[in-house]
Amino acid sequence: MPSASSVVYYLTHPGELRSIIQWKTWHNAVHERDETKETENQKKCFHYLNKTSRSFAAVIQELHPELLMPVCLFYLILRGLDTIEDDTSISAKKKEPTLRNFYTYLELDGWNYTENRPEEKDRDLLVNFDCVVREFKQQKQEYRDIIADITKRMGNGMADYCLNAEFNEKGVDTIRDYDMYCYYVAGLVGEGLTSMFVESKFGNPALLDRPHLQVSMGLFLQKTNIIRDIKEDFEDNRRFWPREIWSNHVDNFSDLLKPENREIALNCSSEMVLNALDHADECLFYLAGLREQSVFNFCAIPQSMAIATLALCFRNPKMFERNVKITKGEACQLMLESTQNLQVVCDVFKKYTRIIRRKNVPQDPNFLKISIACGKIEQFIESIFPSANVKEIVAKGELQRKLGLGAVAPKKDDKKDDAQWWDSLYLFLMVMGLIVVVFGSMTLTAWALGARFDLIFKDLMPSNWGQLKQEFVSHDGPRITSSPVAHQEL
Amino acid sequence: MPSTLYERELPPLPPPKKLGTVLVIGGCGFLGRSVVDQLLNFPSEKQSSQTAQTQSASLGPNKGRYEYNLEPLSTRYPPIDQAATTVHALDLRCTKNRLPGCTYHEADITDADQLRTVFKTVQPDVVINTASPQFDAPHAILRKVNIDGTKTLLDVAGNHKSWSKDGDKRCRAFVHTSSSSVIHDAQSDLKNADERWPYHVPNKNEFYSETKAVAERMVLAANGGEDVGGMLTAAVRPAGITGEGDMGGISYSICKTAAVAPGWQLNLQLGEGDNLFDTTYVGNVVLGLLLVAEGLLTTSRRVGESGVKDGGILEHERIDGEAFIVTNDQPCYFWEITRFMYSRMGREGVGARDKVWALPQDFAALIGGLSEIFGALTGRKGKINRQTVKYSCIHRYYSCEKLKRRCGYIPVVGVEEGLMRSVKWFRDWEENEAAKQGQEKKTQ
Repeated sequence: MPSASSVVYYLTHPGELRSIIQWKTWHNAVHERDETKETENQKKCFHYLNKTSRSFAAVIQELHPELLMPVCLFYLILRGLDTIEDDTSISAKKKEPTLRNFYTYLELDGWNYTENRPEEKDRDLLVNFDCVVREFKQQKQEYRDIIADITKRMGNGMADYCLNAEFNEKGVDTIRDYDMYCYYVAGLVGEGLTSMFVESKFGNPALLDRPHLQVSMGLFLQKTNIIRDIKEDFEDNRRFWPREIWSNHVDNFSDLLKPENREIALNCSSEMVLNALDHADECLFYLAGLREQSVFNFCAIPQSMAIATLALCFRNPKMFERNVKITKGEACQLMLESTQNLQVVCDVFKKYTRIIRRKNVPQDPNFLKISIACGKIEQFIESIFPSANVKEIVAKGELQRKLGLGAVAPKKDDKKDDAQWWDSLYLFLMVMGLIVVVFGSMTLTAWALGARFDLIFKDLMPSNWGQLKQEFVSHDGPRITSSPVAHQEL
Repeated sequence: MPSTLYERELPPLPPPKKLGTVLVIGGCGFLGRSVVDQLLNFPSEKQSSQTAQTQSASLGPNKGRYEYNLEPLSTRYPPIDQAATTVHALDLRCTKNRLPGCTYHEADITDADQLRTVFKTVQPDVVINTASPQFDAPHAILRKVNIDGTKTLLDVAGNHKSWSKDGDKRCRAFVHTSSSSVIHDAQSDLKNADERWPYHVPNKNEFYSETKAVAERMVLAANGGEDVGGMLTAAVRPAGITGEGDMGGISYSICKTAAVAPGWQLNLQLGEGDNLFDTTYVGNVVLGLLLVAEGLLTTSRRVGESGVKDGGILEHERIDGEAFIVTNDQPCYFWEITRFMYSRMGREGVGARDKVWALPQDFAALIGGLSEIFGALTGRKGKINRQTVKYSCIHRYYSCEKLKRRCGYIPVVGVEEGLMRSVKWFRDWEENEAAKQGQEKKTQ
């Protein structure tokens, strides 16, 4: 049942309501799960997918059958790893080897994990992890290798952070550390998925030659979440905003959350947004390398949501007071636009960079850098989808080179040019003069025939505006029409 | 994370360039002075601050807020081998913008005899032509300098027999400064344009660009020809040069406006404000010129060694006979550049979103037209006309991929620093002028 406030919201934002209805009624999944052919164990896996993920469950279940199960398992495995890492009730000493060895458990029949505290929300998944292990063993060796490799590297990365006392105490230090952290929790996922896309022939193998693209995909999402969750993370005593950035604005991290520092905190958050925007063009570049619609949707939807979230957070003081998120209507609109083709997604990016620019102020120390970052996205989009007819322009250039057009010295005459300018000025003055004469003679004629201009001017005086308005409203009063002459004659 | 993945720093500097004897035409102008400066590894930095240390431009009323570290240029631009490079400059008048280490020669480039005299003394290996009037100069002057001057210069440089001391010494490379506007009609959008775009000739909206196109065409056509003694030629097309010493370009006019205009004017915006515009820091333009010069010398050597006419160089690697667009590779929204500079010029509070007043483009064009008529009738030139309205509303940005790919160009100084340098320079210049006036008063 929708709440009263959301009813009011959508009544005042019919466009968003329309997007929701359109998405619900017209969206056809490219591929749909065929539950009749699924085993009990597979159903169980999907059950946990739906339970543990709000945003990814839907897009994963619409993936091509070839990738459906591997990606679902990949998600569940990383979610399991994450649940161990997040649990503060497990001591670092116990946690570290579990994280490092997690990839080996994938091969252990019936492995499960029961040491999470009861309030850990995805505890259930780990208690029943044996279904994931059983299904994992059914997958193609290539996919298993990719998943195990990423799990191993991510587990080691997490274990390193768990032992790193400085990180746990003071949070992220440099921008490089920040990139590193995001790489371990998100960039690696991008790497694994890319290998799977290429393996299934749904991704251009050239993607593997440009590893920074897939890293950008992960970092863009992760950084957006870190920016958005500042308030929530702060309350949980976690600090992901790097010191190298916040120290440009405040002396202590906690000062960012103080209401009296709102303006400074906004400048700091815009530097964070600037840092994230740096990845946007590479994300679009990556999307250009995908060859299958369901894979494209799977990758494009989170990216569109991320740019919209960044635009929402940019210079938004509410971010420091509560958790901000895009509305459901906007999310549906974004999903509609992210399930078509790259050009439409590019338009989404353009739209939101424009929103960001509209909120950018010169008083922000990073004003121009943000402007440049937006320009870079726009230039990149222009380079893949030129708005001019490049083919025609280039053909014209070729022809010119062959025939030597433009090689002829100009026969330009200053005097002639000047004369031309005076000609157009005379023409302009003549037209203006004509208008004056016509208007004047008409007025004169009207006056001679008895038009009472004095009354009209009186009516038009500001002191009479109230009355005038009334007369327009009440139909029985004398109406002022646009043709005074006719009025007088009647 | 793979360590190479996130290294976005500049690559290490290449070994010092050896360019031989270089003659900079227009060497006392805005761009020319900067060419001389870079060729001599930045004597200007030693001049201004004894130790070439990091200068900081602290601007705006609340000091420290827009603190901007201006790292020295000499440690960032590729160095020039001073032992193997000699720098000469030629200009109509050589009284201003002089740098120690350069030899100055006064001559008129439209006068072949005067030029030949200078060539006889200098015996150049490389000629870099930076001479050009302002874009709004009278047509006769534009034609005389840009077309006739380039032609004379090309003829004299190519005819080594008329100036060479041992009869064999030749000028091997001729780098011409053109303009990115040679492909633009001065009124329609230009997005990510590159060197494949055709020249826009004749150009009824901007005669400056037309003369630039004709001159560039002439220079490129001469490349490697018998009549110029096999001299290799190339052209560099800068877009919106900014930086120290700009006395007529975009950064200067914005600074000037910020210094004198009332607040409401600074909040005025013509058009939607979504148009992207290229500006290029002068040092980057110079780097482009020097990279092209170096490339021409390499090609010339290869031609000499191989005996083949084109030196066996592939079409997509060629530098000689080619034009190169040079930009900062950071197109920026035109109105955001202006608001950035206004605020850094100390006009605090200008440009906040709720204060900006955006006039629709058509309406602005109408005002521009009326202002032109008013100007024509009263004989005064107004600030706004239809052309300035056009320029502030259209997209005009380029791709400099060709220069990056073929010559290894990198925009060393970014757009923001370039504009900050313009602002700092303008303020110093303003202060100097004021001090000078004060002194004059005292002496009177």
